[in-house]
Amino acid sequence: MGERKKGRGHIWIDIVLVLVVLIVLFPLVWILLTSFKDRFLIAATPPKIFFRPVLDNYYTVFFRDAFYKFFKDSLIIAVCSTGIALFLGSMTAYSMTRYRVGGDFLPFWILSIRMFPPIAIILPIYIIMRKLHLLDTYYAVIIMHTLVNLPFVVWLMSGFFREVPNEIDEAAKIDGCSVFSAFLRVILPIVLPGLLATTIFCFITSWNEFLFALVLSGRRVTTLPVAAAFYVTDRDILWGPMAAVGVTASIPIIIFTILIQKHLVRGLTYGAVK
Amino acid sequence: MAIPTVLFLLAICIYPLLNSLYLTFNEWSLTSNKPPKWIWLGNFWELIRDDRFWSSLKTTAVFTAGVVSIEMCIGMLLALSASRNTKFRQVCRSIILIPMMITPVVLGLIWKYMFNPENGIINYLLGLIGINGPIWLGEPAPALPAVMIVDIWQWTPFVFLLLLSGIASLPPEVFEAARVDGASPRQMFRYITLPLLMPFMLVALLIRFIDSFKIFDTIFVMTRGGPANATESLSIYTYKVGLNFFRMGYAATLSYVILIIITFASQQFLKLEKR
Repeated sequence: MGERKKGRGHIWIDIVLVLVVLIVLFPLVWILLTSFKDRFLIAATPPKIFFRPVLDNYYTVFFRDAFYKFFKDSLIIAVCSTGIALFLGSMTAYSMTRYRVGGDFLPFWILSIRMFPPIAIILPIYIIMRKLHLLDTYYAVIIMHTLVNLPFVVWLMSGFFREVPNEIDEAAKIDGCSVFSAFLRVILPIVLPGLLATTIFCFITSWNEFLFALVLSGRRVTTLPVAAAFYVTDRDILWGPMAAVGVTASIPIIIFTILIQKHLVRGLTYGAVK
Repeated sequence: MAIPTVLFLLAICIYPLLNSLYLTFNEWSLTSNKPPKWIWLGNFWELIRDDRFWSSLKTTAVFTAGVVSIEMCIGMLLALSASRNTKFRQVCRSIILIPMMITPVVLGLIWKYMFNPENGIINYLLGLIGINGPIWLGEPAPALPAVMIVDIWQWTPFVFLLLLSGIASLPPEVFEAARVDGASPRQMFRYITLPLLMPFMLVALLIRFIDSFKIFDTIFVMTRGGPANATESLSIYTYKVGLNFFRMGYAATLSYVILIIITFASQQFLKLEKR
């Protein structure tokens, strides 16, 4: 009797979960369907679920509106800012966890950067970048995305480094490694899975970031979210091409998310929860 | 090896913050060629009398309180009920992860499309069950709930997953012992699960509070703060004052208000966590 009751509860929970999954997936599937519809199908009521898919929207987005340019900009900025943040951040994390550089203050300070709103520094940054003639260049956006990613790298990598026993460093040093080469040749390979997850996280963060990219970019350099945000104006609503932009921008993210799902909670909470 | 990072942070984060602090005491329009003019506490005085500031503060507070409490409740319920692991549930979990990683701007656009009054799917579905859907993003009353729905849809999975990993970390021996001692399920929840989950709930609460309080992306894309400023969050208002009206001093003051509120509130959270 008790067993049967348990089994039934089980099924109800699964039904609720399926409902949740449907609610989560619905907007994504809907936009995917829309991206393959032509103008008339999009305007049709009731909305059609089965139809002959066309690639018009993708053609419009990539060939008429040259969206590959925004993809390229986003990619360059994401790769560069991720690289710099990883380089600076993992060195800092290593020295913080192994040699207690900065004591308690440095980790706390770096964490508090995660908390503060980007809007608080966006104005002075805008003014400074204008003075330096860096507005509308890759450099400006890369620097700011590095700032966003840096605390993240430091905290996540600190967690991964702490999991590596100190004896390994000692052994490397006895074998004649300097601090730097012990870090590079011995420790980094051990934390490689963590490093890869961190890399993907940073990449996604930069790919998604909107406010800095919006303020610092312009006609020459435009990241994908900024281009997408201004693609839909109230006068001229192009739902089809917008759907195509949304789908293509999301595909790399979805693949990456599935790759790092094991580390996702840890990443999103800055290592506070494993 | 930490020196480059410290220098970078000093230059890109601390210097701008101090610069911004200096600006809060000045009146300075970027469109004119005049240099900043020191006006003491003039900007704060204006802030107190600025109705639009108070209304955006209220909007942000309603938004934050609403989405955070709903996300915490649904996330908690889901995590408690789905804590036992099966293959099927693992697949469900992987799917649920997706929304929180997708570009907020893109999500905003997707929902704007679904909310649109002409051929939006949401009003169509509501019509099927006999409800005449409002012009979601075109009228002041339903606009704020609409942007809140998007946030809840996107971030409830985060709370769910975080609490799930919290539940997974609970020691089974404690529950075993409680059962032997004859504790009822309700007592076990009240006196074991809840206190042990508290740190995880606080982390979820803190992160969701901070992120929803500075909400910008989805609102910017969906409504630009409209209609009739009904969805104008503090971040959106600050952005407009600074980069549409170019009133740098006043915008800096507004941004400091956001900074102070977030810092103060997260300190309170951290104090709670220490207890």
